[in-house]
Amino acid sequence: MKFKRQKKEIELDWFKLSFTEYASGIEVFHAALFFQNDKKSQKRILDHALDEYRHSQYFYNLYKEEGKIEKISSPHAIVNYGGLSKSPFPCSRDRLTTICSYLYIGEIRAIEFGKKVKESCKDKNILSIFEIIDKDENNHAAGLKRFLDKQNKFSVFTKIKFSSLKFYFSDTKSSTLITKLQLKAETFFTRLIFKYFPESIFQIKSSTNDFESVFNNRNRMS
Amino acid sequence: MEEYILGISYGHHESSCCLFSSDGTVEYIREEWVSRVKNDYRFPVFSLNYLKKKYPNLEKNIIAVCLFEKPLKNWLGIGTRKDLSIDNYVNKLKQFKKSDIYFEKHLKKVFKKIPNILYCPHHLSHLYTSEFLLKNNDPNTLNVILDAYGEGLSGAIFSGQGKKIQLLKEFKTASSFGILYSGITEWCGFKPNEDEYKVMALAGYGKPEFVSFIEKNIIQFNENNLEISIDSKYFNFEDSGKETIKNSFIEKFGTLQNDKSILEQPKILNCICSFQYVIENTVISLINKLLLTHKETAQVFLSGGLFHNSKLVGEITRKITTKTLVSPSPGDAGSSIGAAYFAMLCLNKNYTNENNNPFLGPKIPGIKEYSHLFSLLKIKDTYSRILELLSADESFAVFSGYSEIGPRALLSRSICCNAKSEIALERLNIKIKKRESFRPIAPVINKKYLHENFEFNENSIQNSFWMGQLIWPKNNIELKNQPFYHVDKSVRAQVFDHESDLHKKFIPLILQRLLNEGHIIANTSLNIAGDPMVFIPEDLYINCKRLEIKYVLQDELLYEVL
Repeated sequence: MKFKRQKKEIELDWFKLSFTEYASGIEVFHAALFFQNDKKSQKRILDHALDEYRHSQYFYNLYKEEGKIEKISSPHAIVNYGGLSKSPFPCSRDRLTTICSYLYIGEIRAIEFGKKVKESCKDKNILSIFEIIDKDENNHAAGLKRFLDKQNKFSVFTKIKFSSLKFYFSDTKSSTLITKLQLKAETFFTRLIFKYFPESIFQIKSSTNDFESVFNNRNRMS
Repeated sequence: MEEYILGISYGHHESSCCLFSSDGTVEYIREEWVSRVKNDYRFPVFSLNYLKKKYPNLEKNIIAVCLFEKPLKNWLGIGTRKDLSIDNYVNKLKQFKKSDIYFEKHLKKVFKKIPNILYCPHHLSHLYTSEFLLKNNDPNTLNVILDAYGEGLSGAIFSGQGKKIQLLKEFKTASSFGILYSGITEWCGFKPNEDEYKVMALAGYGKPEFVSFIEKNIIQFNENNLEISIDSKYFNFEDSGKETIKNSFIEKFGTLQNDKSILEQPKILNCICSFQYVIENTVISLINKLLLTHKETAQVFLSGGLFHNSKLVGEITRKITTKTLVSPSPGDAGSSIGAAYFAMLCLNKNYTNENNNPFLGPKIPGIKEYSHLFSLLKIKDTYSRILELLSADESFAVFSGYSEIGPRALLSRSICCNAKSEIALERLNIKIKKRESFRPIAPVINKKYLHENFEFNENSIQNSFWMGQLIWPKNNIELKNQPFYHVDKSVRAQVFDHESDLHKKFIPLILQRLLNEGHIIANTSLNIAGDPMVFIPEDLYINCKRLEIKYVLQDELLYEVL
């Protein structure tokens, strides 16, 4: 589903949005594990994770209403669409400020995205969903800000800037000339390797007839 | 000083680690339990960090790490033939960059000092997983390994055990029942390598009307050389840039109509049923032929992803009287156990223990300390309260004992309700778990009541301890008030053996008492469909909230979710 907003188009890919929220749920869940000694905070953070899973379900229901079938399997969707490939987890507790800055920027971006949708979308059902999500994301952002305000201000400032840049580059990376050129070069060399080299160079034989033959090859990758 | 051997599997579907300790401890962990990404295929960094935390001397005292396959051989084994699509070659390159060829580099993320690295051939990892878990050591064992793909093969047959094994047959990728089944899964609108169990469940709804066509034109088994051939006119197994299902297949069997439920499309159901039937017949013929030529065989071990198909295993054990066992985790996820076992054999170590069982996962943590998430119910008699819940058609979670290693919940991390109540089962299946109606929830039945109603192969009943096979009722049994039966009257029951030390040790006492008194408990995994099984109390909280489960049974105590 696409909506026009001034010159830019907002693309609402419910499948991708569903997995983005789902991955956020996972990240917030992992963050909650750092608060095992602060029970009150931990429960609050786990409830935050529950909100993210609920948002994911909203988007997944919208996706199912469109009657589409997506062939990508769920772990790949969570890692690639959800953004877990760039996630800071797993990490140690001493990176808590970095993680919270990362999550905070994620919430701010979600709020901004919601605003854009609300400006351009007319569908009442979708608007009501974004209304609920907006309210939740604002609460989450406020909670994270409260935590970050108690930390070293300079450290938080640099980490937020770094996270913003990380998100910016991950957004624009796919459309850059460099990426396109890289893809072309990869395709060219791949064709060269597989099409024009003799097939025999890919054939590796090793024997698994009995334990002795396997034992003799135990340190080999082939 | 304790020594450790670590087995690792990753890169295909579900990553896992298995730690063997010289004191006999074995600890198995799936990456998805810790990372919370279902079927997580990535290098198991979360699991390794978990193990490092639990075993502080792990890094210092580890003597070997073994990968479950030969990574280079695996990468070269498929899609490197000439004349495939350019997309296939691009995919191959991408796979190379992400593959376990970089195993050593990935290990460096976790271990500062790299230990001795071993590589176990893919199908031997499956074999050794079965050998370790099934524990029935006998040199006259026949190992039938069938899966989708590994190191250019789709299966192998070995005779023997331990260091005395002999290869009898290898199956090329072109005869892969695993890829064929994944292709059909995709054709049915489900996710390949993930939803095959749904297709298996749907097979019961169809009629085997295409069997003769399939046997004549698509799948052939040659008894003389044990060769299985699948006509490449219908399936593409080699070129990852193209669909697995070819046009000839679609011309014959049609396509799924997205505007209709699959249950309303008889041609699709008949096709699924027919393929299931032909696969069953072929595998049974293969085993029968092997048993004829290896008359001394005392037992057959089945392993590889294909044997996740509990209908296939049920039909095999129904028709073959020789003891035929499938391990609790026959797929790639269990292969880290086989890899660790292989390393132990290579290093001439013998870390023996009595713990070879389906509960090799970590001990489930107590939830008493999590008073901010769960409140202990102050009741005198937990057993009576559980009975009340069952009679009120309510469901409750079980979070007790040790984590199960396989894909099935075995009353350690389960959701239970009264299996004889249609209302309770429907509520649990459709409303709570949000599963499809064609997949009934499995019951747990006490073995002493099994003989009254079911026909089964006593030699192979062990498979039902971990729901590895279907069983069928006796012909004269009237199926009344037993809504857990599948449409074809089969049941994927978990059998509780009241005389088994294993069951006495690992199943919560309250549930043992219920089963001994003749109750039939419905049992499904403690997770939302599509999520990993719960692992720690924080997961439990999240899952109970999402599933709207109010009560959790742990040991002898009942908790309420806050």
